[in-house]
Amino acid sequence: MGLLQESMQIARRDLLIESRRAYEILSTIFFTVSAVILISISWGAPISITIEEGAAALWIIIFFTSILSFTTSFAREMDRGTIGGLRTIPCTPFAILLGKVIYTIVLLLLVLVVLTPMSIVFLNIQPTARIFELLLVLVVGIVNLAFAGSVVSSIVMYSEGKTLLLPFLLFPVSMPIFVPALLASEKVLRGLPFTDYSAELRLLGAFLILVIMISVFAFEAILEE
Amino acid sequence: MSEYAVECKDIAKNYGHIHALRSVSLKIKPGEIVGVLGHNGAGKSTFLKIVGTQLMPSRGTAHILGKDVERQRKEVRRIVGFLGHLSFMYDELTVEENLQFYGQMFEINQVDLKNRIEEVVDLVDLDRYRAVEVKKLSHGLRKRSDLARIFLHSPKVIILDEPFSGLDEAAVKLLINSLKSQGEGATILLSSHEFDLVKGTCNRTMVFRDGRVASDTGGS
Repeated sequence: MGLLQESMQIARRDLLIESRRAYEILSTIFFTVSAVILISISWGAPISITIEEGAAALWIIIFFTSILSFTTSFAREMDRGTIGGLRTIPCTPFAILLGKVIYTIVLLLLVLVVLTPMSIVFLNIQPTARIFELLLVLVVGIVNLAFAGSVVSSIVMYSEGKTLLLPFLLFPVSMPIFVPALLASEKVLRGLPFTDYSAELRLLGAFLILVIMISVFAFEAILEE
Repeated sequence: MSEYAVECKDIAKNYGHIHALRSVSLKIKPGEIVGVLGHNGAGKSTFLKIVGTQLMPSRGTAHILGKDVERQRKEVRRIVGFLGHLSFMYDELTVEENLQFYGQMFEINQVDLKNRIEEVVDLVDLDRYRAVEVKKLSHGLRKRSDLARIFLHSPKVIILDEPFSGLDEAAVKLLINSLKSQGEGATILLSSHEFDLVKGTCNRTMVFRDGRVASDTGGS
């Protein structure tokens, strides 16, 4: 079985488990909805909210929502002992990480499905402002965040204080994602051409390659304690 | 292929300054059923975890049928079935879904897997529970579902860490019977506190004390 097939099996299993724990997905969706509405009320949107504030609100919500999924990613396997099961299967360790990344991407895309229309209504993000380009930036940022967050989640899974450590470590790690993703989103919303935000996308691409390279070499050691 | 199913040379495991395993060297031939005995903290679980690729040794080498547990982990996992203290089954999935997942990860093709699941579920007498979520199973039934998991890929070396703990007499009997039928020809290593039970099941016993093998009797 190839790397991608192994990862897909792991992601499929995680999504099946998640579907049986629908209340957790619903709580993430509820968090997204309430965050958008609260920001909208606080900033007097949609009338007075600026493009910068709208883009910032989007990424703050995505960041905090991602923490919700990272806290269950590897931590649940560790707490229940099923991490031992993953150590019995004859697959490449990186496939396990990639499976978790795919699972997180699916969950965050689900959040995006709710977040995008709500942002149009409540956060003054105009659909005329090239929605597909905005989605491209959001998806690239989410893929980055899913990779970096899953690696951090695997590193902290052995710690008793993982719920504290995860956001603590994820914050600096996600900065090289958060800043260019935020800038690129702003530029898209301003209606600037692709050439104006391609540098941010290249930066995100370079960071993704770096995280993948590190995890290919380091994840085996992380998984095997 | 190596002459030995399990071959360890001077393996040790340290957790900081705690020596869980000091120096273990042993050879186990294919087909042997080895009981690993010892008090709590004697090192038996650490030893089984190392040969089961759950832990890496701090020193020394361990080979399963000639394959290095550190360098050929993937190959070793194909031929080893490991039952740990904790269940490796996913609570929210049914017994069948769990077995499907593990079977797919062991690259058993879909048609064979269906038949194999039927066989192993029947063997551990879990047929009535195959569509039940694992979280709804009792401790004994859960252990049986884990046993079905390790039988799935017909391992040549079966490692059972405290398989009898928390089981009643009937469940222990069922476990031993399923081991005898499914594990026929396989090398089995099982740890337990229950000396008499191990004596009656195994043809070789090793007693661990303070991270070392203190006695080894009945080996061929």
